[in-house]
Amino acid sequence: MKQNIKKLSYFLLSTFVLLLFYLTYITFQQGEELATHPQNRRMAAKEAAIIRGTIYDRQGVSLAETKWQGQAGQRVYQTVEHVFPSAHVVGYVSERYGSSGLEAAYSKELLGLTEADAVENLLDKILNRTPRGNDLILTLDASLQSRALALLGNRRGAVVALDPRTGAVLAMVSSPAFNSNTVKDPEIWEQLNKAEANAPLLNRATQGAYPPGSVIKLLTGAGILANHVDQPEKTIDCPGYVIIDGNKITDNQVHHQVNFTKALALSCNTYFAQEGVKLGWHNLLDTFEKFGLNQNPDLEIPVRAGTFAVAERRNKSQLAETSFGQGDTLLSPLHMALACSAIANQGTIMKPYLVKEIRKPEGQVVRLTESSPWLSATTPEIAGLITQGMVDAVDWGTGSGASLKGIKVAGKTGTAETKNTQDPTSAPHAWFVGFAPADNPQVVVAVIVEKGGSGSKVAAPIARDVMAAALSGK
Amino acid sequence: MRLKKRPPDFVLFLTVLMLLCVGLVMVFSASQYVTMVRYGDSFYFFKRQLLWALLGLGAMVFMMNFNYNNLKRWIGPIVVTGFVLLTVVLIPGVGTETNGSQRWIDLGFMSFSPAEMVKLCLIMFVAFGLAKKGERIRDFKEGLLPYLVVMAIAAGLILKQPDLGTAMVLCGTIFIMLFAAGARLFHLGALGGAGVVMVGLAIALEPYRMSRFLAFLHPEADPQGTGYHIIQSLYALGSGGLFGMGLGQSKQKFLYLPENHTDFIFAITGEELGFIGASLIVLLFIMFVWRGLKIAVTSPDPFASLLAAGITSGISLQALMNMSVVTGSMPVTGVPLPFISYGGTSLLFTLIGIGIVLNISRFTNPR
Repeated sequence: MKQNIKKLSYFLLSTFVLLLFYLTYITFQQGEELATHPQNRRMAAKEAAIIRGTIYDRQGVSLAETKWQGQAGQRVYQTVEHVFPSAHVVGYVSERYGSSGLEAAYSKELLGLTEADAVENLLDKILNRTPRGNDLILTLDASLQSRALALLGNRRGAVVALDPRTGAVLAMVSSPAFNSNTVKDPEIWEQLNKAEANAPLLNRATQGAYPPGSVIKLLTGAGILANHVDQPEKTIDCPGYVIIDGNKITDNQVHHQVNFTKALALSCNTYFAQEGVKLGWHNLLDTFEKFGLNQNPDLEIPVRAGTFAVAERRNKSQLAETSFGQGDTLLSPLHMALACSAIANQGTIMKPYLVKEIRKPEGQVVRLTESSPWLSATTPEIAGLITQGMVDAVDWGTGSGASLKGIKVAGKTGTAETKNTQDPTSAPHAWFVGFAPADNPQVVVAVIVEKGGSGSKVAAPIARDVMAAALSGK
Repeated sequence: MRLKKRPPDFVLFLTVLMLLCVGLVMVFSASQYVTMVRYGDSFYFFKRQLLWALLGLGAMVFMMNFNYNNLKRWIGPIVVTGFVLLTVVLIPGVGTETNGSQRWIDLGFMSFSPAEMVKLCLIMFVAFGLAKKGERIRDFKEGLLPYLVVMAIAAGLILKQPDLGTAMVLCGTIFIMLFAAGARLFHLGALGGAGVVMVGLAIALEPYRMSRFLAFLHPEADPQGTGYHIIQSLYALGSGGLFGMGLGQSKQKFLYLPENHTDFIFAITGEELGFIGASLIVLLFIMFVWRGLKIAVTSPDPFASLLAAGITSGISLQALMNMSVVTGSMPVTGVPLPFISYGGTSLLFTLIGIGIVLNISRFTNPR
C-alpha cells in the first residue's frame, strides 16, 4: 500500500509540474499573441487610456489619428467624399467589432506596448502622463489613393500600384470603399455586411479572386521562353481559331503570322493556347510559382494566395485555357502587380511592404523597412523580351488606351470571361497590368474592374491616369 | 495502536491557510463587479465566502482534534445520509434548479450541495472497507465489486443533476484509492477502459457536452459560441503576463467570462496576479499533495493511510481538472477550484477533509 501511495504521489506531483510548464508556455510563448489578439477586447479597453499613434502616408498626410476629447481618445480617419480611400489597408478599430488592417497588425506598436517602449511607459507612469503610442509612416500616397478610387467611381474593382525597384506599395484601393469612422455604428456595420452592399469590407486588391484573362500571357510567355519551347523570333500562323483536344478556341481576330512579341502585343489566344500546351502543366505551374502567384508575400494584411486548376481537372483543354487566362485560375490584383514587377525589375520581385517607418512620438525612428528581394522569377533577357511585347501592346496593340504623352508605357490588357450561366449577358472583368517608364520602370500598376467590360477600353485608361499621377507625384 | 499524540502537520496547515487566503481575496476581486450589478453590494459573495470559510475552519479544527478512529463507528449513518440527500436534491421543489441543473438544496439562509458531501462520505466508506479487506482486494468479485457498485450509484445520481465534472472527480478518486489499496492493475486497466468508454458515451449522447468537446478541440471555430469560455480564459491568462495587471484590474470579470468567481477564478488570478500568482497557486497545491500523501505514507494504520490518500488525491484531482479546463487542456467540465473558488459547501467539506488528514498526521510515525 505504501509503495502504491508513493507511486501515486509521483504521478500527481508530475501532473502538477506539467501544468506549471504548460502555464509557462502559455504566458511566455503565446502570451503576446493572446494579449494582443484582435478579438481580445482588453486591447480596445486599454486604448481608452493611451493616445494611439498616428498613421501617415508617405508625404506626411495624416490617414488616422487620435484626437483627445476630454476623457477619451477619438480615432479620426481621413475622409474623401464620405469614404476613407485607404480603409482596406489602414482598417479600423472599434471596441465592438475589433480591428482590421494595419490597425490590427500594428496594434502593439501604435499603442506603444512593444518591448522597445518599456522605458517610456515606465516614465509615463511615474510622471503620470497620458501614454502615447508610436506613429506609422506608410508607403501609400494619399492623393494617389483618392485619385485611384475616384477613377474606379461607383464600379466594383481594385487598383494596386507599387514601386518595382523597392516593393513599396504606392496605392492600394478597393471599391466599394467604406468609412472607418462610422464602422462602430451598429446600423452602419449591419449595412456594410448586407449581401446587396457588395462586400465593401473585403479588400479586393489582396483578397479578390479573379480569373486573370489575357494578363496571364506575360507569365505563360516567360515560361515559353525559359523552357525554350520557342525562339522569340519564330512565327506561327493564326487562322483566328485553334482546335485543342477537339475543342475549338476562337481568337479575337485572325492575326496571320505572329511571333512572340507580336502575339503579346495583339493578345493572340491561338499562339498562347498552342504553345502553352507544348509547355505542359508542369512547366506552366512551375513558372506561375516562380512569379509568386500561389504564394503569400506576408504583407501584414490578409492576402489570398492564387489558386489553379486542381490536379483532377488538369487535362489538355484546361491547359490551353489556363495558358491564355481562362480555366480555373483565380488571382488577386496584388499578385498580378507583383508578377508584373518582375518584368519591370529585370526578373526579380521585391518583397512588397506597406509600412515604411515606425517612429516614436518624439520623431525617433524605431524601425525602418529596408527593401529586399522576394522572388527570382525570370531572367533579365526574358523580362526584356516581354517588356518589348508590352511596349508594342501600348504603342499599337490592345493596350493603346494606356499610352501617355512623352512617357514610354509597357502594358497588357485582359478581358476575363466570368462564365456566369445564370446571367449570360454579364460583362467580363476588365484587367490591365503595366509599368512606366518602360526603359526605367518606377511604377507598376494592376487594375481590375469587376464585370466592367473590355480591358483595353475600361481598365487601360484607369491605369494610364494612375501611372501619370504616380510619376508626376515624385 | 496507542501512539503518543503529536502536533498536527504544521506545513499542511499553513499551506491550506495560504490557499484559503488567496481564495478569499480572489473571490472578492473576481465577484465585486458581478455582485454590484446583481445585488448592489460588491461584498455580497465575499461575505458569504468568509462566513463559510470561518465555519469550515471551525470544523477543520474540530476534526483535527477528533480521533479519526471514532469515524469508523459512524461510517454507516454517514453514507446513508449522503445518499438520501443526493436523492432528495433531485426531487423537484426540494432541489433548486440553476442553469439547467439541480445541484442545491435551499436552506433559506444558504444553499447546500449534497454532491460535495457525498464525495467525502464515499472516501471514508471506501477507505474503511478496503482497509478491512487487506489482500482480498485482488479478487474482483469480493474485493472490488461492492465499491464499484456504490460508486456507480453515487455517480449515477450526480450525473442525474447533471454534473459530469463532480461525477468524474468522484470516480477518479475512488479509482485512485483502489490503486493505492493494491487492486490488480489488470482490473484497474479494464475498469479505466470502461470508464473512458462511459465518459465518451456521456459526451456523445448529450449534445451540449458534445459541442463543448468539439469546442475544446477547435475553440477558434466558434469564438462567440461554444469556444467562448476557452478563448476568453486564454485571453485572460495571456493578458496577465509575468506580473499580472494588478489586483482588481482584471478586465475579464466585467462580464466577458461567466462563472468567473467559481469555475474560472484561476483565469482571473492569472490575469490579475500574472504568472507569478497563478504559479504560486500551483506550487501551493504541489506542497499540499506532498504533505498530504506523506501523511498517508507515514501513518501506520491502513484505514488512515487510505483515508488521507483519498482526501488528498480527491482535492488535487479536482484542482488539476479545474486548472486544465482554464488552460484549455481539457474540455469544459464545471468543477470548482478547491479552496479558491466561490462555493460554501465545497469549501466546508474540503476543510472537514483537511481536518481529518491533520488528525491522522498526529498519529504518524515520526521519521
